[in-house]
Amino acid sequence: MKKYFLINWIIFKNAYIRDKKVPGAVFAGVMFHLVDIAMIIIFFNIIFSNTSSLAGWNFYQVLFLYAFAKCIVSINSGWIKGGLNDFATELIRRGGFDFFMTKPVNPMILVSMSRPRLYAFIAGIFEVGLCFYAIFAGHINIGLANIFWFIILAILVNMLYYFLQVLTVVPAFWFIKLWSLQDLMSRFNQVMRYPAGVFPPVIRFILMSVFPIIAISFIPAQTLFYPPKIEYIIYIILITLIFGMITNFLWKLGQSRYSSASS
Amino acid sequence: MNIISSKNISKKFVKTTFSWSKFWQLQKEEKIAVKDLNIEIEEGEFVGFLGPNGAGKTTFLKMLSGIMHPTSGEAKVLGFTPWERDHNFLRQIAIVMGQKNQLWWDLPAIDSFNMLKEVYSVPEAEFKKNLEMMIANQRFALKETTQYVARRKNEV
Repeated sequence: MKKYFLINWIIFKNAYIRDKKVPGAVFAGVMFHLVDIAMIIIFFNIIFSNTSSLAGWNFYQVLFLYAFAKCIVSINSGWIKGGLNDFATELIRRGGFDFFMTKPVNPMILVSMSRPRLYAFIAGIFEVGLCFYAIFAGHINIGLANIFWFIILAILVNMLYYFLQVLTVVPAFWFIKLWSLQDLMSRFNQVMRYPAGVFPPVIRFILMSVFPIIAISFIPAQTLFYPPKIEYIIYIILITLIFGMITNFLWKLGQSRYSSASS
Repeated sequence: MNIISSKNISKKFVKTTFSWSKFWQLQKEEKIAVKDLNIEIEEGEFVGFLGPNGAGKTTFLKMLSGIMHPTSGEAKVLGFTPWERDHNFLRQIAIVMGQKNQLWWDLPAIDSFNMLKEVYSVPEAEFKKNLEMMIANQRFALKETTQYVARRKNEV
């Protein structure tokens, strides 16, 4: 664990030094995030000018759900998305994955943290701010037990999101040229901003279990606003474990198929 | 005592292609890169590996270094099965191929070394001693970036 922390620290430190030289690119990245957030808030305003709630959730609850979902995406985007994108588009195709395979570390983790994007973390600060704004402006009362379970679930869903993101790029081991893989998760991210109740039952079932993308944002937010449900907490623990095992298994299976393009 | 051995090791690459003319039938193209190769290398031996292009030299070395799994056969390097990727095994080997090097893309040299120190769990004292020796021999600046020409990268 300490080893991965130190490796991560060196990579982050250098990403900071690199980004410091191109402040314009960092500024543009943060601005893109903020404009995206502003557009969604306008979009929510339009929806809530026509209805008072979405599946029983008011404007501020939905705003919190959206901001929380964005936080998860930003953390993962800043930490691992760059590395996994590289993996899906370049490393397998050109044989660059050899570098990771010859190192005495877990290649999945090393690949994931190899290309951090610091601007995503800066955008994440605004999103945390938006979460607090939604809670205070909406006068949402939250108990200590809710906060405790929310924090536990937030940590777990970040891991779950990571596993799902890895799952979307693992097919690159088999279909070397699938460039679209890197964008798959961005499409799924869009459903994270709505309460689970807005989806038709079949789609809700799929997005809560088969590919549990809405569980990632909805269940922690639900736990924060309403009395914590033990079945929800157990469910998140279980699916995080299950998807962790599936991801690890498929990654290792893919690794055994790796044919290393370079010489 | 053998430190590297292989027994009937083979590697077959299979390429699956699709064409509209044979819609219901995926085409499989197979290429045998290594076939039933047996080798025994003892400790202290220097071995050259020669062959024409496409003979399977690199493929064989990649199997011995754990990068690739064989289609069939067995191999042992330092008592380990390479493709099981035991960290104790990977800590003891290095493989250098073509234009590839062990540096981490655009990190300055010192950070690349620090990173490899953590990756390979090199003790602090040993790391410092080796680094001083390398600096004395190579005269490279530790803070300089590795975003330069391939020759310089390989020197570092």
